[in-house]
Amino acid sequence: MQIDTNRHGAVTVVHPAGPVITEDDAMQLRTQSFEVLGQTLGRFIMDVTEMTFVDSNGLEALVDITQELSAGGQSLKLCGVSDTLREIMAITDVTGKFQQFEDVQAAVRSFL
Amino acid sequence: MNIPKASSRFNLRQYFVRGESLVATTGMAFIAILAFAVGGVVWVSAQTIDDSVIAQAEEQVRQTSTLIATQAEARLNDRDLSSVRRLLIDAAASGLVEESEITVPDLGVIATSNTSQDFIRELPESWQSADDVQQSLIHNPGSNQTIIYEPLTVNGQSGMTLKVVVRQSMQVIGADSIRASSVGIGSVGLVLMLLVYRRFRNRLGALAAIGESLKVAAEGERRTECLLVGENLGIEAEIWNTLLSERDELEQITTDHEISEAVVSGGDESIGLPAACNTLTQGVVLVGSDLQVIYANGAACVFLRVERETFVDSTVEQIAVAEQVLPAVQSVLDEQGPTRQVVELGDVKDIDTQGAVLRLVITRVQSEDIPRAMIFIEDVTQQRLADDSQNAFIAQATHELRTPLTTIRLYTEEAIESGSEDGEIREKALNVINSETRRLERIVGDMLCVAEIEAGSLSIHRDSLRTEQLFTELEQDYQAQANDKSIELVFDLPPKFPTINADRDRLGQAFHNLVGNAIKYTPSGGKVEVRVAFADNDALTVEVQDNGIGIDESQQERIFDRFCRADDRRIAKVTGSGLGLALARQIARLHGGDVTVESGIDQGSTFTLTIPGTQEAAKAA
Repeated sequence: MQIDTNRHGAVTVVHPAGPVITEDDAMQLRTQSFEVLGQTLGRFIMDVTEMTFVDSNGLEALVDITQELSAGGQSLKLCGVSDTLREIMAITDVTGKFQQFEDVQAAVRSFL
Repeated sequence: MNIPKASSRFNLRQYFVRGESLVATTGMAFIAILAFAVGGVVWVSAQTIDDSVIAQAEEQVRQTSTLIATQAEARLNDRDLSSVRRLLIDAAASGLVEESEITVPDLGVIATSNTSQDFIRELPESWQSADDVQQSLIHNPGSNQTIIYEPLTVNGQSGMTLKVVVRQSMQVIGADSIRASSVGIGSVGLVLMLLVYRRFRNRLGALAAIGESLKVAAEGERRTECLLVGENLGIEAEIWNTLLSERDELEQITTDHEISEAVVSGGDESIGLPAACNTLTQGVVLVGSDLQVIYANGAACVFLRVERETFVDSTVEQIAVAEQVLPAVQSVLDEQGPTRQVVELGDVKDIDTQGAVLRLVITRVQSEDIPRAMIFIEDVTQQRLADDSQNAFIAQATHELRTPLTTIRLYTEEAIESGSEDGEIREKALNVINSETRRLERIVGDMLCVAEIEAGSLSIHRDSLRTEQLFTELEQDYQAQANDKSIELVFDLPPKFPTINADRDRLGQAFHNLVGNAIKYTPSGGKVEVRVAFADNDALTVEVQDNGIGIDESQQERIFDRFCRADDRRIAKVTGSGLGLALARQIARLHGGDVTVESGIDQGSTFTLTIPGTQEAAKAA
């Protein structure tokens, strides 16, 4: 799985590409995200447009990241959530743990 | 706070002294009661013995008088008065009685032991009878005399009376002394009881005051000043007052401890407030008057990069931002100082925040006359960046607007001055004016687009579009500009332009921005090539390639941000709003496509705009 990061102003956007279906993928996503959110004081967005699928490992990683952000009163901001991912989150009842935005611009605007 | 230990306050010696005092008081009370009781018992005993002795003496006197009366009756029945008189004289002489006499009603004494007393010589034949006369005894304690009246019946006739006087003490010897002693013992006991009462009254005065204080406390009064008792009431009152003051100190310690525990543990969910504060994205820190951190929520710990466990109970001097924050906190805590201070922290020392900007609002919180400082921490990095970008945009936009306006004004003046004499100059002036007007129009369009992006209302209006005309106008618009900079502008257009479903104005705006950018950042003598291609599904790809200064890899994504320009000193003198590429990408994405870049320093750049075919575009919309 490839994970790119770029910045929109003071906000860092993480772009994971591909399915997150192994423990290694989940660990990679978790580690890189923790590193980014630690450096940015939580000014952090995850663009999951290209995250085609997540299994329990991937979902657990996402929940861990939002849990880490909750220490500072925040939650993970997701943008480009596909119908599949949205359905997975609804079935596992974790939708409320995340903030969802249509696109990166809208998510970045939420930091203003 | 220094709380004395119970063992030092209530030590064994003092306890013993207090106990000894109590034993002495109790002992005195016991002795007093005992003495009073002994006195009473002795008194009653003496009285009982006395009564018994008197009763025995009376009985003896009665027996004596009865004996004399029996003897007298027998002799009177024989009418032998002289024998009767001898009997009485012998009785007096023997000492059994002091004196005795026999009287007849209405006639007087017929016989007596007193030889000098007159009496009737002859016994009368009859006298007044008196059947109801009984034996009676009269005792005179003052003279120790006991007088007994004994009725006599002579020859069946009553009324005659024998009077016997006996001198005999009817008291126990020493009874008065015993009584006096008992009175003395009782008096000593009474005095002791009075002393004990006085001692207990003093002690009970303090206990009564403490009892009243407890009643007031039971009614809900908790203020120490209302529960204190007079210090002059004794050691119990002093101890009570000390306990009250210690209670206040312990309550304060407990409260502080509970607050600290709540902060360290993240707060009891049942309390709710700490948990609520932890959901805030703003940091909240409560600082005591001694500069000690009393409470900090999760966001504050994240912003200041500290562990909550170590943050609470540390002081403001110990946190990384102390240098900037400490003076403001001290100023707010000072009652003479301002109640609110704002501190903005840029690159915070010792904290790796990647250029974060933290805004700290410090306000005074007055609680029970104790000043405290509440620090609200907010991450305003993105806001500051946006503000800076907008300020830069306004400056750039002003410059961008002024440049074409100046050009228009100059060429207009030239056209007016040339009048109709020089058609060539006039035509050139009109062409420049036309070109600059279009440029002005684009700038204003960009600015409007920015406003729409900011408001989140940027949208497209699709329609059937033949792009051939769009690219023809684009070539016309930029050919003159390219010629001015001696740049070779090449349009590689396909032979056939299919009709696509797109927003003409927005797409034209995106093309203009890409081509205009390429010409702007390509030096004189360079080349800009625009390649247009359509796929089988009518997907449009436009590549704008230049051989200009190129873009560093680290800047390639950043240049698509609004108000952002590449951080490159080579473009410092090139004017630009930093909006063109952001708008181009936004417009492409609204059509379901995108704008990407491939570039390298001094290797030129290639921007690729893709618009998906009709079906994909419709799906994206």
